[in-house]
Amino acid sequence: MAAVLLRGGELTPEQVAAVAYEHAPVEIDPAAWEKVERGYRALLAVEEKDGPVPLWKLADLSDDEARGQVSDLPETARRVIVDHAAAIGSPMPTALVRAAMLVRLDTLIQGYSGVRPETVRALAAMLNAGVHPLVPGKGHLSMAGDLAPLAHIALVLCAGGGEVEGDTGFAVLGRHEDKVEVLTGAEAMRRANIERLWPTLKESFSLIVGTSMAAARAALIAWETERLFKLAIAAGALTCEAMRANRSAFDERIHRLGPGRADVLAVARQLERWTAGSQLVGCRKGGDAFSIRCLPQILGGIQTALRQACQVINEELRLVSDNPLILDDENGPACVDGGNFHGERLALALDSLRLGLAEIGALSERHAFIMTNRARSGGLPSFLVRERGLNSGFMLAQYTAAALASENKSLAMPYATDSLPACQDYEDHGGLASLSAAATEKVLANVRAILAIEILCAAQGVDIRADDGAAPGELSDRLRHTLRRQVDHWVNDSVMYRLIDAATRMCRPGGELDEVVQDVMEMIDG
Amino acid sequence: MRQPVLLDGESLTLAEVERVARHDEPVQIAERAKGKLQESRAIIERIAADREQRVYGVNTGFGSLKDVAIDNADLARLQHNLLMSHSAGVGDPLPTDTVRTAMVLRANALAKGYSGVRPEVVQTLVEMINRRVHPYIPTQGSVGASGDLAPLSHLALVLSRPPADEDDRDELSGEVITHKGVRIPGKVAMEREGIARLVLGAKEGLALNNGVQVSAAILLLALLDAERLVRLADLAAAMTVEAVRGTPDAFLPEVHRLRPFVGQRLSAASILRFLSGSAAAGSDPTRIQDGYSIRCAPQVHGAARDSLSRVRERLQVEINSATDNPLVIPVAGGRTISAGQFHGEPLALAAEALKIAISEIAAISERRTFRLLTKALSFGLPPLLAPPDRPGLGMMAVQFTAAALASECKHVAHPAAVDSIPTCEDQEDHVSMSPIAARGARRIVYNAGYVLAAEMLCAARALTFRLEQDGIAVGEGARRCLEIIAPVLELDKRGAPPTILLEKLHELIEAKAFAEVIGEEA
Repeated sequence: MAAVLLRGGELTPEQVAAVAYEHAPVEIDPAAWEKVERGYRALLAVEEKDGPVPLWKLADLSDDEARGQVSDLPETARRVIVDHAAAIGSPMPTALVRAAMLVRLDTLIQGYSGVRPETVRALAAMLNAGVHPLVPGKGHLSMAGDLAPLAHIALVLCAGGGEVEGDTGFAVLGRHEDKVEVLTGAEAMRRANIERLWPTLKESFSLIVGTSMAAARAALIAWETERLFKLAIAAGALTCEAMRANRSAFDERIHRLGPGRADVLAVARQLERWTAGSQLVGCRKGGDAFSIRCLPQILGGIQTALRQACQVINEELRLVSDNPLILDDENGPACVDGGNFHGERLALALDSLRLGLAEIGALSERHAFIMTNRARSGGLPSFLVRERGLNSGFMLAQYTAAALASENKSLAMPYATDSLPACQDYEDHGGLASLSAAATEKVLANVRAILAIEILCAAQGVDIRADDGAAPGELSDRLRHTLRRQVDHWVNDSVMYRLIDAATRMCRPGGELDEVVQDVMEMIDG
Repeated sequence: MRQPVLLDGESLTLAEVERVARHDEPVQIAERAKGKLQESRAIIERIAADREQRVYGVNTGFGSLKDVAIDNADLARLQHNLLMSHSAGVGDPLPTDTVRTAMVLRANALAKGYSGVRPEVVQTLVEMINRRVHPYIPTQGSVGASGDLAPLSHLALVLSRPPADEDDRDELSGEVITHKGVRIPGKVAMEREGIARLVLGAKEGLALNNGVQVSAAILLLALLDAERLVRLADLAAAMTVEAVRGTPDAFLPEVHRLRPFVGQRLSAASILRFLSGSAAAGSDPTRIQDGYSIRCAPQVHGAARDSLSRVRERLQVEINSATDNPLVIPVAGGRTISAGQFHGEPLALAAEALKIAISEIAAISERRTFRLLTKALSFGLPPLLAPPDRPGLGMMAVQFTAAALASECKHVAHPAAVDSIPTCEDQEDHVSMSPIAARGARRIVYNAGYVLAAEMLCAARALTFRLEQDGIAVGEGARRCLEIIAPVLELDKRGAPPTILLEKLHELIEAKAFAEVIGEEA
C-alpha cells in the first residue's frame, strides 16, 4: 500500500480516503519537518520576547480568570486536553478518527502551530501503528473547532493520568467495529511502543483547536459524493432504457443555449453515451415525465452545487486551522490571535452538499415510482412483476426509497444557520460544521440505498423489455449485467431486503456497481 | 410471582407494555379474547371459502393490485409472499425493547378480535415474546401508512412458514437477533426455541403487518422516557436555582394558580418541593429577579408536560385499537370493511409534539448550564466552574456538549409528519411518515437526557463549591441528588474527564436512580 506523503497544505480527499479506509501509511516530507522546526523555534522566540503565550490567548478566559489558572504548567496543559474530552455516545467509525488525525497532522506540519517535532512524530506514529482512539460521536459543537473529538484523540497521545477512570482516554489497536479489545490510551500506546508526551501549553491547544474532524469528514463525504454522483447518472441512464426515454432530452443543442450550461451539457452527453446503441432509448413517440426529460437539468444543476461545495471542502482540508498562530516573517516572530478555527465556510459547504445529495435521492425515488407504476411506465407491468397480485414485486422497494427520500428532506435542513453561544459568550457564533457533517453522512447513506433501489427496478424493467425483443445500449447493459452477477431477475416474490442490501453493497466505493460506473465514466469523459 | 400481562385489545396500559418490553414480564392472551378471535376467524374462513366474494387482502392482490383476483388455491401463498416481498427495510436493527414493544402491541391489536386471525397466530407472537425470540427489524423503510409495512413484515416473516416445504429455506425465513447480538435465520431461531411456525391462512399475513405498531412502539418508549426527563428537569432547575442563589418566589403556587396550566402548576410545585430546606435559594436580598431559564422554568417545563399528556392520551387510545385493514366486524353474520385504520397520522402528529416539547426542555436546560459557567450571570461561582485550586478549563466543554446536543434537537424537531410521498402506483397517495417522526422523538429524548445530565453535573459542582465556601444547607432535591451522584462527584474530584462524568450520570438517569426523588407519577 503506497504511503501518503504529507507536505502540509496539499492534502486531497483521495489521500484522506486512502489513509482512512485502506489504512495507507503516512510519511512526512523533509521540507515539512523543516517548517515544523522553524515554527517551534519561532514559538520559542516569541516566548523569549513576550513571555509564555498567555492562557487568555489560548482559552477564552479573561486575563484575570486565566492568571489564576497557570499554577503548574505541565498539569495545566494536560488539564486543557482532559477538560475538553466531553463528547458522549457510541464511538465514531475508525475511518473517521484516522481521517481526523491525518488532517490535524497536516495542519501542524505547515509550521504555524508552534508544536515540537516529537509531538508531530508521535501523532504520525499513532496513525501508522494503528492506535485508534475511541472518540464518542455525539456532542461535537464545532465552536473553536472540533475541540471535543480532537481532545479524545490527544488524551491518548499525551502523557500523564492513570489515576482515575478515563484519564488516558481509550483506544483500540485495529478497528473497534471488529470488536477488538478496548484498551486505556496509555496501554494502547505502550503496546504500540509509542512514547506519550507531556504537551507544552501551546501544544495542548494546537492539538485540538481547529476544524480537523469536520474537515476530515467533509473530505470523505466529498470523495464518496463524487463517485455516487456518477452512479446517479448511470442509474438514470438505465432508467431511461427501462422507460424507453426520448433522446431529445440529451440533444446537446438545447444545452448550449445560455450561460452556466457546462454541467447540464456534461450530463446530457454522458446519458447519451451510456445509452448509445440502444434499441429502447429514442425508439418511440410520446413525451417523458420530467424526472426523465429533465435529467440533464436536474442532475446538471445538482452537479453545479456539488462541485462548488467540494471545491470549498478541498480548500478547507488544507487550511491552517489553529489558533493562535505563530508567525515568523519580515516582521519577526509573533503570536497572532485570530479565528482560523471557525468552521463557517465548511458548514455552508456541507449544508449545500447535503442539499444536492438529498436531491439526487429525491429524483431517484421518482424513477423507482414511475418504473413500478403501470399507468406511467409505458408498458412495464405493475411493480415490474409479470404474475402480479400473487406477487407484489417491487412495490415495497419504492416505499423504502420514499421513506429514505422523506428522511433526507428533514436532514437537509441547514445547520450553518444555527448557533448557541458558549464559553461565557466569548464563543458566540459557530458554524456547527460537525453536526452538518453528521447529517450529510446520513443523507449520503440513504441516497446510496435509493440509487440501489433505482438500479434494481431499472434492471428488472430492462430485462422485461429485452424479453420482448429490444436490447439496451451496450454501456447501460454493463450496469445491468454487473447487478445480475449477484441479484437475479425477480419472478416470484422473494425477500426484498436481501436484494436491496446486496445492490447497496455493490454501490459502495469499490463495490462492483461502483467500479463499473467509474470505469465507464472514465471512458466516456476521458 | 410475576402475573402475566393479559392481552384483550381493550385494557393494555403503557406501563404494562414497558414491563414486558424492558423488564421481561410475560404476556398472555386473555381468556375473554379467545372467543372473539375464533369468531372473527370464522368470518374470514367463510369468506375465503366463498368463491364469489372478493375481499381485500383475503383473495385479492395488495395495494393498487386490489383488483387482481387470487385463486383459492393460492390464498396461503399470497400471505407468505406478502411478508417476504414487504420485508424491504434497510438500516440498523431496531433495539430489543422496541422490537418487544412492537410485538406486544401487534398481539394486543389482534387480540381485540377484529382482524380475522386464528388464536394460534396471536399465541405464536406471545411465545416469541415470552421466550425472547426477537426478529431483526431494520429501522428504515416505512412511510407509516398502510402501517409500518416493512418493519412489521420483517417481524412476522419469522413466524410464517411457506405453504410448500421446498420453499422453506433459511435465507427466506427472516432473521432473529440472538441475545449475543448475532443475526440468525428465523427458521433456525424458532426451531431452537421449539416454537412452531405457522402456514398463514387467508388474510393472516396482512393482519400481521397492517398497522403502525412499530411507530407506536418507538413513540411509546420515547414518551415514557420523556415523562421522566421532564420531571428530572424540575430537579435540575431547582439545583441551578440554588447554585446561583436564585429566588424561589417565581415558583410559589399563588403565581401559578393565576395561569392554571396543569403542567405549569405541577412543575412549579416540584421545584418548590426540591428547594425545601434550601438556605441558598432566596439568600440574596439584592436579587430583583432571575434570568428566564430559571424564572420561567415552570412555564416551559409545564408546557412540555402538557404536550406529553396529549401524547400519552393518544398512545393509550392507539394501543387498544384495531388498526387492521380490512376490519372484520361480527355483525349481521359478519362482514369486512375496508377503511384506513392503519394510517399513522395520529402518531405522527403526536410524535412531532413530543419532539418539540423535549427540544425545549433541552434548550432551556442548556441555557441554565450556560448561566452556571458564566461569571457575569452566576453570582459568585468560579468562571466555567473551574475549581480555584486546580488548573484547567472547568466545565466549559460540558456546556459545549449540551449546546451541540440541544442544537441537534432543534434540527431533528423539524417535522417529518408534514411530508408525504405517494407510493403504490398512487393508491397510497398520502402517508404519515410516523416512524420517521417517532425516531426523531427517540433521538431528541436521548439527547435531552445528556443535556440534563450536563446541567446536573454543573449544578452539583456549583453546589459543592457553595457548600465548601459558605457551608449553607442545600434543598431537599439537591441533597438527595448529591447523594445519588456521589460516586460521579468523587471521580470528578479525582480529575476524570467530562466524558466519563457525563456517561456515569446518564447511566444513573437511565437506571432510574432518581425515580424516588422525582416521583414515578406526574
